[in-house]
Amino acid sequence: MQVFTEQQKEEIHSAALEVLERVGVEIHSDQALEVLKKGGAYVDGNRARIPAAMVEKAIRSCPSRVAVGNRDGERVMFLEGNNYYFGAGPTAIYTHDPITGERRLPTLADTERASRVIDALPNIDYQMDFGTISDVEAGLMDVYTFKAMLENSVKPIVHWAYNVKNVKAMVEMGVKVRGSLRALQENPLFIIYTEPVTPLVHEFNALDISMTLAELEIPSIYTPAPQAGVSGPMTMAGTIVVSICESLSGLVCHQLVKEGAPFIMGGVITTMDMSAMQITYGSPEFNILAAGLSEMAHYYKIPMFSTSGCSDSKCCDAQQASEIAQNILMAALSGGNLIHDNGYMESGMATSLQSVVLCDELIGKVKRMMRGIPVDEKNLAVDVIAEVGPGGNFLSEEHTLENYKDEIWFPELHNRQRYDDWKADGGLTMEERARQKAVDLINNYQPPALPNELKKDLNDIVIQLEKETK
Amino acid sequence: MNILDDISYNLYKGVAKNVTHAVQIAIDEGYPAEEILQKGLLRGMDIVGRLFQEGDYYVPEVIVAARAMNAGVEILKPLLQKQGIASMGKVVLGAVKGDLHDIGKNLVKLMMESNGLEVIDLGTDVPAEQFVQVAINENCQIIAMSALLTTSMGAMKEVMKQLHLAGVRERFKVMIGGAPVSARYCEQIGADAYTPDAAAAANRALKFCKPEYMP
Repeated sequence: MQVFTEQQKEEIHSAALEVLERVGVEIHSDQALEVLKKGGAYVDGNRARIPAAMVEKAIRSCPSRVAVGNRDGERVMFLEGNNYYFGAGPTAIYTHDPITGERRLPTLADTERASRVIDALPNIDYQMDFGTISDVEAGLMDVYTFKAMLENSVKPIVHWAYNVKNVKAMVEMGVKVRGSLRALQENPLFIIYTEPVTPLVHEFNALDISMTLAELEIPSIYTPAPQAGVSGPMTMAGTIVVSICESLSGLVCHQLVKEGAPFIMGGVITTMDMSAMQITYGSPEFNILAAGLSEMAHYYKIPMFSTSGCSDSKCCDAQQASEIAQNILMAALSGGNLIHDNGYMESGMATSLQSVVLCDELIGKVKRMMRGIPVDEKNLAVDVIAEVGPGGNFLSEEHTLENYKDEIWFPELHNRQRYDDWKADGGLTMEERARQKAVDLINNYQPPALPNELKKDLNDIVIQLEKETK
Repeated sequence: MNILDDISYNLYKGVAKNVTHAVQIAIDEGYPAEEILQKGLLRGMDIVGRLFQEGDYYVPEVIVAARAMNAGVEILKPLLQKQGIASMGKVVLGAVKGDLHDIGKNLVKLMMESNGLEVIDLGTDVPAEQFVQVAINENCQIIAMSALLTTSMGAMKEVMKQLHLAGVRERFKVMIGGAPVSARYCEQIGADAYTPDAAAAANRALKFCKPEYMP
């Protein structure tokens, strides 16, 4: 699919360069102001205006791909080109419990069980913490959830950090898993995202963490979240310009610390619903903005952190199903590389394992469409057509037997039974089947265990950090 | 692996040419036709049935295996007839008047034959009287009808009427199938069984013909 012409991409890029040069960005990090000044930016107090040459140099030195490995060291995600990988969402305030039906504050146990469910689902490629947990020391929540994810799933992790100290503790844990910092750099196990304050403000922790990651050569996501009409201009193109300005100014600081360090741009980029005064995760503008921004990321050859599988609905219903079906397909079609927030409900206020299970199913369906139609001698099947002839049937052909499992996607949650059979099996809706699957995975799935020795090492790192923080 | 195992294996894998090859070898080695049928072919079909029940096999595996079964039986047939081995039962089969769709019906035939039933296939667009006449003349136990169209399914009712008129309704079991028909429709027209797919149709027919063999 295509949102912009080549000419339009040039114009968007020029507009972003003009904003960075004329307006600049506000920076609340002494270290960032210093590197920017040294690098040739015009710095006045907290304001840094960045000349086009600096921005374009950073775009050129940024690698076009980031490969990510799982806990076992297998390289599983290649964030480049139009590749797409789907993951859950982070830090929501509430979670919808598929067992009790409650909407409640998440705890560490929710992160742990979300990790296990994600580990079991074939189409969810990476994990995120699944909620702002309420039952641990608040200042170390990021580290506790990071450890919980390492312990409960082999899949790669996309996470966040409060500060440089905490991010360094996570890197230390990654080093324990991989064996050395070098090994972790060569085959990163996790990515850390940070966010500017839209519009055009970089707060100190976001940039300091990003620059620390650059120094350590651990992948960094810099992901703004402008809302058209509120923190971004009301027009879609203008909001994309603001989003790009924030990612690219973040990239300049990042690459000034270490040229060639891995960086991913991003954005949860959407509109405000002007009647509910609520950010939208399921609106058509959300879908087209995400696709447009992914296209700009491809234009820059910078990997993209995109968004899908999320809904404004309050429960798994027709609204939620249609929203996630559309934004998952759009994210895949636009090649959003690292696509997060699958399972988000209530416009990002809550997570839902029931929804994650539905996302997994819909991603499977989308992957089948994305695979397209191979055309070669075997697939054109002229010999079989001749063999069967007019009026015959293909069901009894060996050609059918050999190909149907590759050609046909087999759903798990969609029901295609006859009415009577469906009724006899309980007459369940798809959302109820998804809920039951989520409950079954929570109760019965056991992920591969983390070796005890490693578990102890990770514990020691957390205990040390707890001491230092007190 | 002896040659009978070889037949069973190739049958449940659905490789028709290996099945016919192995059946020929078994005949040449002097195995009795009955034993080749029971311990080779039908044992293979039993495995297919079990895999289907357990959800490991889907319809294509079953159909392709049935085709391999029939290819094997084709070679055995002259020997079986010579030894006077009776079929499991006799079925007259067809798509009803006004309907030219026959894929489903042909699959039913394939599945019935692979289960040892003898099938007289009247093809498509079969008049009601013909179903009744052939069933009487050929001494069938079962009349099996299919329809794909909502506009043609009404012809099934006509067959029921003709059976009553000829005074032979009780002599035959009547089975129906096809996308628009249902268990409810079966009841409505007073037929004996509705089955949703070819494998189920073959099973039901066997049950009618040889109730003592079936669970």
